[in-house]
Order: sequence, then structure tokens, then C-alpha cells
Amino acid sequence: MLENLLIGLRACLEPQQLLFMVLGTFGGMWVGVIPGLGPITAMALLIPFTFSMEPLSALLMLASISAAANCSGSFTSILLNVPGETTSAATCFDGYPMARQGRARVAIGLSIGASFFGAVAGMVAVILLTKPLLALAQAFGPAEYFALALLGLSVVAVLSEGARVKGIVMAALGLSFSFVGVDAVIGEARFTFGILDLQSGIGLVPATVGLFAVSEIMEWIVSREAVSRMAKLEGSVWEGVKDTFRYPVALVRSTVIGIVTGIVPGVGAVAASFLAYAVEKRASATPERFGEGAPEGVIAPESANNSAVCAGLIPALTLGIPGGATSALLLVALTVHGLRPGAMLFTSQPQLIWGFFVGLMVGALLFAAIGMLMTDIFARVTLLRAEILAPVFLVISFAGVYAQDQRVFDVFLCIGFGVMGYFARRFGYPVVPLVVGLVLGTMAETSFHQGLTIAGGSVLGMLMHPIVALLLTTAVLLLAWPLLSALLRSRHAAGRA
Amino acid sequence: MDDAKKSGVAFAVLLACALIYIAATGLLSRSAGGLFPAIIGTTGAIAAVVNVVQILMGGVKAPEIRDAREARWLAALSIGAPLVYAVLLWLLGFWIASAATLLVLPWILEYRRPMLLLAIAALTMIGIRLVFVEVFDMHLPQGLLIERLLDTDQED
Repeated sequence: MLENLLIGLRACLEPQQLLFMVLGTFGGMWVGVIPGLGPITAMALLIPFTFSMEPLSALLMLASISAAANCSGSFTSILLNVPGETTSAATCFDGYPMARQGRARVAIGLSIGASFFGAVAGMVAVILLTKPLLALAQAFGPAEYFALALLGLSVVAVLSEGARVKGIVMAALGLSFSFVGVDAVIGEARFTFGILDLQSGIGLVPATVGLFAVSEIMEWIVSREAVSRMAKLEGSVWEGVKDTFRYPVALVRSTVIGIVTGIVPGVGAVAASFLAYAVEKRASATPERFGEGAPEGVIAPESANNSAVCAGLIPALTLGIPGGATSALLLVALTVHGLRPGAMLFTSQPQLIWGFFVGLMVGALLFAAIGMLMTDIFARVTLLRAEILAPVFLVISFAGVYAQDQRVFDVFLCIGFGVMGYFARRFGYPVVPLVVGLVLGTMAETSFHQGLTIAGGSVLGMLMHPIVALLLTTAVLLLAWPLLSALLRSRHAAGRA
Repeated sequence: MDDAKKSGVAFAVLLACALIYIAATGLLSRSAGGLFPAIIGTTGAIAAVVNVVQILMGGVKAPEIRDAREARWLAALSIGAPLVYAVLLWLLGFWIASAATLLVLPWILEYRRPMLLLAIAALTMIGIRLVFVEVFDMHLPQGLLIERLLDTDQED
């Protein structure tokens, strides 16, 4: 293995490869901070330009864009409560309150530190786990994926501390939004109300930009004050980076969640970040700090989403099944250069594959360094007044939403979600379960039907697999935990009396 | 029941109605595609009804509503501004609609520094043009009316 790593290091440190990585990192940083214009768009647009490039240069440039955008997407989440990337939406919860306290630079430092750790650990996981996990991944069928989606949704209850019923309502609504469009099972249009634009379903970009960005812009118009309630910025980005490693348990736990979630095709980095946030809040001795600017609230989603993106490469490189959109595009880049995923790739192209793995770790160093240099410029945005920020971000957000699919309809959809997010926030409804429901909805429904068909229409037959039973038991326990703990507490109290 | 509670109940009822509609559509559907919406809609609808009852019984804290005239105007503006911008985007295209929003919205919000506003509007639009149009070769909405006008000109 060490020999392979050295081969990879030599390959990726060639000046040409380094140049493409720096270009990719710079591009990714800027693409990441614009809502709606994410690494997927940038990577998709750049793939044709990579035809004439060396395969390693192409892969490293595309992967650097993805890694840098994943990190910088959190900058706008922290500074303006506007996620640059859907994977950074969970970072808003504690990153933005930190910015409001004048600690934007510290929060960005936390995000950079956690992203760096998550990306490096994710790559180590890719190197170590790719081959052993090949067998396990093959054991996952539709029923297992359905159970996994249910487990993800049961996290809703954990997320909605103090508003559990509202959380379930929002999760059901999120799932319901995923029903809109042509049904994946029988190909019939559902809940489209005769609107042609709804047939392709509700996209994640208009939904998240609406729920997080537009609702925040509405709030700015009402409040008419600067994001930072302090007149000056406190702390430094370096302080934030150092602080990241003061929470080793949160960092490692969230990274592991990201890796496990990232390996499973279809779940992806968005679910990983929300899941990690929920678990961290649940595990904390002082959960009331979450939502008020807790450093773990930034560390958890950032380390999880970065490690999930890297871990998504495992099924892509071994089985040819992408873990998410990013790995799907890398897979496309791989195949246009005549390379096929699978065990052969590791033996026939060691320089390429190990150069790519090591290059991603070098890329993590690059985005951390460039991110730290750019933080001061970004952080000053929080000192601007709402009267300027609101129209500027409204225009940028709508341009991003429109650019995704070139549909004005998406802009109206985004406003609808914005109004919903605004009222949800006002009446104490958590919007996270809605996003998780929307993300996991299609996978849950498709897997449910496929599992049911395989089990000959028997629900019990579908659920009686060991992995399915384990995942579902965990989901039920997670949901029932408040009830069980209350029961245990009352028994304990009765015993004492 | 005070105004704050009434609004909270109205929002909760709206959500409940949406979920009941999903459940009913799923249950009435004769195809396999209705099964999952029926399960999710029913579960959600039960939770939504419990939520309405919780709010009615006062178990859940109702939000504070500022009833000052200015607060109401700002609340209407906060929803109206994005909506008007989107309609302008659709009718007049991205550049005219965005220029209008970038200049008029701060003015309505009583930010009166015209030169600074012009500079910010110009910088924002140049930035968007560079990133979206020049680098990524994307199209931004031209506007229905502008498109029609251009078509008429070509026909003439």
C-alpha cells in the first residue's frame, strides 16, 4: 500500500497536475458560493473540455472543483444563511448564528478545518475500505435501501427536539413533494395539477434556495439590519481551524457518519450532513446550544458532507454505481477516457488510481489554504446592511435557480418554498425534515415497490432480512427513544420513592 | 383566541389539508403508484391533526405577531418583492427586472444613496453576466414581452 501511495504522490505532484488542481480549486471556491450554481453544473460543463486532457489531470481538476465547492458552499451558509450548496444547508443552523454574533471568521475556520479533516479521512476510508466493502455493497437490495431511507427519516424525530409532531408533519410534506411528477413505479404523472413543468418533479435547488435563502431574504427585509449584530468582526479564521480539533469526538463521529452514508448509493452528502448534525445535537450534554452558534453544529455537517462525497467514490470505482451526483460525473469522466470501474482498474492503472486518491488529499490541503486566504473578503459581507444584501442576493439566488434548468417556473417554485419557509420559521416548524423527506423520497418509494415485488407482494417477507430488520429496529428505537427514556425515568423515580 | 394563535392554527390547518389531500389521492388511486402516497399522507395527516389539536389546546407556544403598521407593511413587502421580481423576470427578462429590483427595493427600504446603489447594481449584474453567461454559457430569461417584441420586429 505504501508503495502505491508513493506512486500516487509522484504522479499527482507533477507541475501539470498541480496546476489543474489549483485551477479546479479556485473555480470550485467561486462556484460553491453562488446558490444554485454548484460543482455538478461546473463539472458537467467542463467534462467536454477534459476529452483532450490526460485522464489523471481531468479527474483531479473535476475532483478539486467538487471538493472546493463543497467547502466554500458553507461560506454563504455561515455568512448569510444562504446555502451555496444543498450539502451545506445544515451548516446554516449554527454557522449563521455565529456570524450574527460577529464570529463569522471563526465559523468559516471551523468549516475549513472540518471540511479538510472530512475530506482527508474520507479519502483514507476510500483507500482502506474500497475492496472489503465490495462484498457488503453487493448484499444491499431494494428492501435494505428502503429501510435505510426510513432510518434517515426517523432522524427527523431527533432533529425536531421540542417540536416532534411538527417535525413529522414537515417530513411527510417533504416526502409528499417528492411524489410530484412522473411516478417512478408506473410512469404516471401525479400531483401535477395539469402543470407541465411539474412533470419533472420538484428540484432540490429551488426547494433549498427557497426554504433557506428566500425566507432569509424576507427576514432581512422585515428586520432591515446587518447580518452581524456586532459592528465589527471578532476572532480569526485560524482560531476556528484550531477550534475544530478541540472537538475530536464530534469530528470523528460525524466523519464516520459521512463515510457510512456516502458509501450507500443514492443517499448522498445532503442526508449525511443533516444526519451528522442531528446525531451531534442528540449526543451533546448541552443540546440547547445548538441553533445558537455551537461549534459542533458547524463541524458535524461539514466533516460529514466532505467525507460523504469522498466515500461516494467507493461504490463508483468498484461497482460502477455512483454514490451521488459528483461521483456520477467522475465516473463519466473516467469512462470517456476509456477506463472501466472495477477491480481491474486498481491493477491495470495503479498510477492513475493512486495518483487520483493522493491528489484528492493534496486537493484538500489546497482548498483549506485558499479558503483561509479568501475568508476575510467573504466575512466582510456580514457587516453590510440588509437593504443592500436583500436585493443583491435575491437577484443572485434567482439567477442560480433559473440557470439550473432554464425554467422561470423554478423561480416561482422557489418563492413558494420561500414563503413556506418564512411561515414555518415564524410558527416554529423545522424545515430540515422537509428537505430530508424531499431528498430521500424517490429512493424510499422506488425501493419500497421493488422490495415488495421481489418479496412477492408480502410486506413481512420484505422486512424479514437481517440488514433490513437491523436498520428498521434502529429507526423504531430512535423514534421511540423519548417515550422509552421517559418511561425509564418514571420507573427510576418510582423505584426511589 | 388571539390573532397570533389564529394565524398559527390557520397555518397548521393548511398543512393538515395538504396532507389529507395527499392521503385521499393515494387511497382513491387505483394504481400501484398510489400506495406509498397513501401511507405517507395518512401518517402525516394524523400528525398534522394532532398538531392542530396541540395548538388549539394551547400546548404549543403561539408566535408573537407585531401588529404595528410598519411591521405589516414590511411583512407584505418581504413576500411581495420576490413575487414582483419574479413576474418582471418572466415578462421583461432578467436584466431589466434585476436592474429594477437592485435600484428600487433598497429605495423602498429607505436606503437613499443613489450613487452607491448604481455601483452595486452595476457590479452585481456584471458579475452575474461574467459567471453565468460568459464562463458557463448559460441563458438568463429574456422575458415574454421582450421576446414577443423581437419576434414582431423580425416579422416586420
